[in-house]
Formats: sequence, C-alpha cells, structure tokens
Amino acid sequence: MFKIKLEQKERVSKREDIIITLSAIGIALVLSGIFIAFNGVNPFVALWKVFTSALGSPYGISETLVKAIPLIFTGLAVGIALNSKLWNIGAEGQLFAGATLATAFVIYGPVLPKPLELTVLVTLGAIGGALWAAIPALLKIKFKMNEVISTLLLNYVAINIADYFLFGPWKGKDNFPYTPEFPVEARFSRIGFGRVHAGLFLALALVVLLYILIYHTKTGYKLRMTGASLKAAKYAGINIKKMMFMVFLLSGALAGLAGVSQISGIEYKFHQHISTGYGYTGIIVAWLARTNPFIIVIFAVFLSIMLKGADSLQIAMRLPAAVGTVMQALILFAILGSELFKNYNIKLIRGK
Amino acid sequence: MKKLFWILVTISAVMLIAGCGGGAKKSEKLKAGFVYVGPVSDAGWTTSHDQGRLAMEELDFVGESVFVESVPEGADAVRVITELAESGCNIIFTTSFGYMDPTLEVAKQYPDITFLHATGYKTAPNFTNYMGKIYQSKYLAGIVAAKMSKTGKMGYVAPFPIPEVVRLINAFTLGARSVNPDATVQVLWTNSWFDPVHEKEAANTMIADGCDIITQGTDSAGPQEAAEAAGVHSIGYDSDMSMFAPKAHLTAPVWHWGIYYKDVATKVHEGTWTNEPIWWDMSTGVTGLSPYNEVVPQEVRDQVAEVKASIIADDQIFTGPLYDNMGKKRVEDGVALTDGEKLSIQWFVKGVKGKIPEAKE
Repeated sequence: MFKIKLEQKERVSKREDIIITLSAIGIALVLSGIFIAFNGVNPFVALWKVFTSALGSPYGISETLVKAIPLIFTGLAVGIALNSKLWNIGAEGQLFAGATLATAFVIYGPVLPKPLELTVLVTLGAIGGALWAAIPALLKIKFKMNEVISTLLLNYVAINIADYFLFGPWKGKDNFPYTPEFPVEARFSRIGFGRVHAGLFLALALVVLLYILIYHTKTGYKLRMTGASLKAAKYAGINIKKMMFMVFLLSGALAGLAGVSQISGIEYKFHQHISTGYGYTGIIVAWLARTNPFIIVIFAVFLSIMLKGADSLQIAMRLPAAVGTVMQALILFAILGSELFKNYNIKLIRGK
Repeated sequence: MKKLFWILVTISAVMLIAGCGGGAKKSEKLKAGFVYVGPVSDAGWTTSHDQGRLAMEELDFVGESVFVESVPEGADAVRVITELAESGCNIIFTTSFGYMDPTLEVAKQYPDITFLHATGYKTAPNFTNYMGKIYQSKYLAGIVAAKMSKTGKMGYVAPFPIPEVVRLINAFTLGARSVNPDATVQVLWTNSWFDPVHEKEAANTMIADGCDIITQGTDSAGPQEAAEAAGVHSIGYDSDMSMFAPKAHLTAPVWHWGIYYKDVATKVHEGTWTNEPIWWDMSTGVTGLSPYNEVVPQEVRDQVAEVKASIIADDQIFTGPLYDNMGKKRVEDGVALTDGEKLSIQWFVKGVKGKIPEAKE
C-alpha cells in the first residue's frame, strides 16, 4: 500500500508556475477531446475547427475579439481582487448593476453630444458596478462576512432588479423585455473591423493602467502585500480595511464597465442577455492569468475562442451545445486542481 | 488505454470516410439551418421544432439540416446565424422572439437565403415570420382542465408577460370558464423560457395554494413533474409531456411544425415562396391536442371534438362580450378581436389571477 503525502512548498518558481498552468490547459483539452470522441467526432478535427473558426478568417478574428472584450473587463475585475486574495464571484451582478445605471441615464437623461454622453455612461457604469461591490465589501469589513457567498448571491439580486425594469418601466413598445434602441450618441463607434468596437481600446487602456498600478506604484505594492500576507501587511502599517474596500470598489467598477461595453458597444439596448455569463467566465480568465493584466488579455481571447468554437462545433460537427460548457468546466477544474501541485510537493510513501 | 486509442483511431477513420463521402456527392438539395433558444431535449418548444426539422428532412429535395441549440437572444445570435449562412444553408429558421432583429440584420447581408422567424412580426424581401394559432388548442385544453378540476382553481406557470403568452393564458381561461364560469387561473411568471427548477417551484407554490390543475407556457417539463409528485392533474405544452407525468398529464396543446416546415421547404424549392407572414389555424394541423390520458372521460372528449369543429368553422374565442380581470368591458357584444389586436393583446380576461407589469408613461 502507498500513502500520499503532501508537503507545503516554500515557493513556486515562475517557470514552474507557467508549466503547471499550461499542463492544466493541456489536460483539460485532452479530457475535452475524449468527451468529444464519445460523441462520435474526431477530437483533433473538432479542436482544429474550434481554432480555425476563431482565427482562420478576418471575420472569425473580429468576432473572437468582440467576445473577448467583456471577458477582459471581467477578468481584470476578478484579477485585481485576487491580487489581494479577495474573491469577487459577483462580477456578473456588478456587470448588470453598471448596465442598469447607465441605461437609466439613456432613458431618463438628456441626449448629450457623443463624447460627453459616452463619458457619462462609462462613469455611471463604473459607479454602478462599484456601488454593487461596496455591499459585500462593507459586509466583509464590518461583519466579517465571507465575500464568496455575498458576492455570488448579490448576482441574483442585481439581475432581478434589472428584470424589474426590463419587464416594467423600460419594456419596449411591443411589450417585450427590451429597452428601445440607444441613440447613436450612446453607442461606441466601431473601429472598422467587423463588429469590434471602441470598448476594446477602453479595455486595453485599463490593462496598461492596472499593470502600472499593481506593479509600479506604492498602492499596488500595498495591494499585493495584503494578498501575500495579511499579518505582514498589518505589521507594515497598511490599513487593511481601507485597502480591501478600495480593491472591491475598483473590482466592481471594472465589472460595471463590462456592462456598459456590452450595451453601448454591441447590443445597443439593454435586455436580459447582455451577458452570457461573462462575470463567471471572468473568474476562469483571472485564475488562468494569475492576475497579471497583460496575461488576462491572452486568456480572455483564449476563452472567447473556446466559447465561440462551441457554436461552430454545433454547425460543423453536429455536437451538442453542452460540449462548450463541458470544455469550460474542465478547464476550470484542471486549473483549480493544479493549485495543489503549485502549493505542495506530492510524495508517495510506502505504508501498511 | 490501448482500447481507447483504438476507439479513437476507429472514430477518426469513420469520420474521414464519412467526410469524403459527403464531399463527393455534391447535390442541389436544400440545406436548412435552425437556431434554437433551448436544448433540443427540452421536451417542449425546442423539441417540437426539432421534430419538425426531422419531418422536413424526409422530403427528397431536402438534404441533411443543421441546428444550433441554446443560443442567447442577443449579439451572439448574429454570429451564429451568420455562420449558418456561411456554412451553405439556403433556408434558416430562428425560433424565438429575441432572434427577430439579429435575423433581420443577417438577412439583409444574404439576399439569396430565405430567413424565417417564429413568433415575431417584422418582414423583409427574404425574411418573414411564422406562428400557429395555438391559442385555439389552449382553449380546448382549458375545457379539459375545467372539466377535470374539483376546486376550479388552476395554476399557470408563465414565462414572460408578452402578448403571445398573455393571449394563450386568456384562451386557456376562456376555455375553462366556458364550461365552469367560476374557474380561475392563477399566473406565476418565471421570466425565462426554460428554467426547469424555477418552473417546478412555481408549480409547487400554486399546488400548495389549492390549484388542482397545473399548466404552463414555459418550455420545460418541470411543472408536469411537480403535478405528478403532488398527485394533481396537469396540461402540458409544446410537445406531448406525458412521459414526465404519466398520471398527471391529461393532454397538451402541441405543435406539429413538420407540416409548416415541409410546406415552406417545398415553396422555396419550387420558387413560389413569398414573404407573407404565416399564422396558421388548427385546421392546418400545425397545432392540436396530444393524446388524452385514459382518465379523461368520453363525454369530455366528445365535447372538445364538437368545440374544435366549431372553432375551425368559425373562430369566436376572442369575440365579445369580453371583460378584463379588473371587471372593465374590453370587447363589445358580438365584436371580434382582429388578428392585429390578438397579436398585441396586453390585458388579462376575467378569471385570470395575475398582473401584467406596466410600461413607462
């Protein structure tokens, strides 16, 4: 008989970290392949199809980017919180909160000149998301409530509030749960490449800004230190509560921007389906990227390819829609599982 | 491991051969693409469309068709419909209201492809909408329900407060009250087409409140299972749901989309298709009732058959006097609602216990 013994590792080298993450993705793809094979389709052909449909034509690339934009926002939102070991499972709700507040301005406010109107919408979206994130932040700081639970549950509240407006005061003339189409002033311009819109530039600008904030400012240092060791951070005189509160607001604001980017960038109206779980997929993006903003962009694109590819597989290979969901779940499982290998040395011991 | 390897090799080989075969016999057959809002296994709305798709494939000038399931009703739909168009489909069906604008957007880009949208109202030269008068079957189901109910209280699990759903709730209620003037229909909204858990909970809530008939406008069999478990009766919707509730399920207003899909495929094939919107009634067979549960007495079946014949001869379901559920007279004696008024109806008839959220203004 063998026993398995786990020994805590002192630290993980950067190289080891990358190798383990890539192996996890590899294992997830192999498992997905087996699942696809059981559906009677050659997994190599299927995976090839996933990547060629996403990257094999200008149209495919543009659509991949369109879907990557909200994932960059939500990936950044979850990632910034992870930097200080805070779990924001509520990006989905913050996305809806941001979109709801911005939509309120479109419906009740005046139509301003385009640059001004968009500035207002972006600001309101960020405020909406931040306010929604402030609730779990206060609950955690004041009452020590676990933020995983509070952020998750508040998603349903935010979505139900949005539903209230969509089914009531904001519903369309045909009585369907859609707001009227936004005026041109409230829409992001397209950048001349398929449906890709200016939200991409906003997302990339934030990536650079956040990178500077996290790695090249005093605040960023405090933020990372809070994540690395709460005790050490306290000892160094960092105001932990203030730090946590700030991180939550920033995280919520980023998720709220995902909402604005969806309604002003691609949907041109507010409805129930502005997010197809981008807040949740953002968690996978952030975990894969290990919180580095630039790497978040890479994995946002990767997840976008997988999500989009699942639809292409249905058309080209007649695979059920569930394949996409299964693939996404396998990646998350593999990544979470790989944490074990990062934090522990695994030894087999001969026992009785 | 070795076994798995050989399984994979075999599958790859079969796929290669199948792939080559497909390429070799390039044909002029019609290729249809379908966009579904739920999974094909929802046992309701999407299943009924998929059965229609398979029926259409039986036509010898129709080749193998393709579908994409669980497509979100937003920007993603544009991409999926575009991919279907690019994959060589000549005729594309999108089967939920939220696909109306996305379908129209893609239709403008592909003038040679025929686009058909279920449950909407917009048209373009190569784009139209189609639906069936399932409210007529709902009226018949209402009669069955009221005849079988002891309490006269019925529960209706409803998706969205949109005209289509409101119309069907009204027709069911009018049918029920035509045989029991005191019958009431309680409505609970789930705000989703397909949410089995939520639908089941809604049904349980109404059963606890004394409803002994459960019916639904949503797409899953959740409410049926709730009725079966609680030992009350139920009326299904979209597809025959009796397999989920063999004791509870009395009958269901169902779709036979194959009849329409075969018709439209033939017309497109022959070049006689026009973009005239379709709203077929019960006489075409596109809607009807599924087979009865054995507990439904012959007397009820006969009565329903009689009413069915009279509806086909002269549909007076939405003919006045009609009162709304606040007691206000909405339709004068002998006046019939026009198709336009039926399609945009936004008030409940007397007997419905429920509220439609108000719009701004």
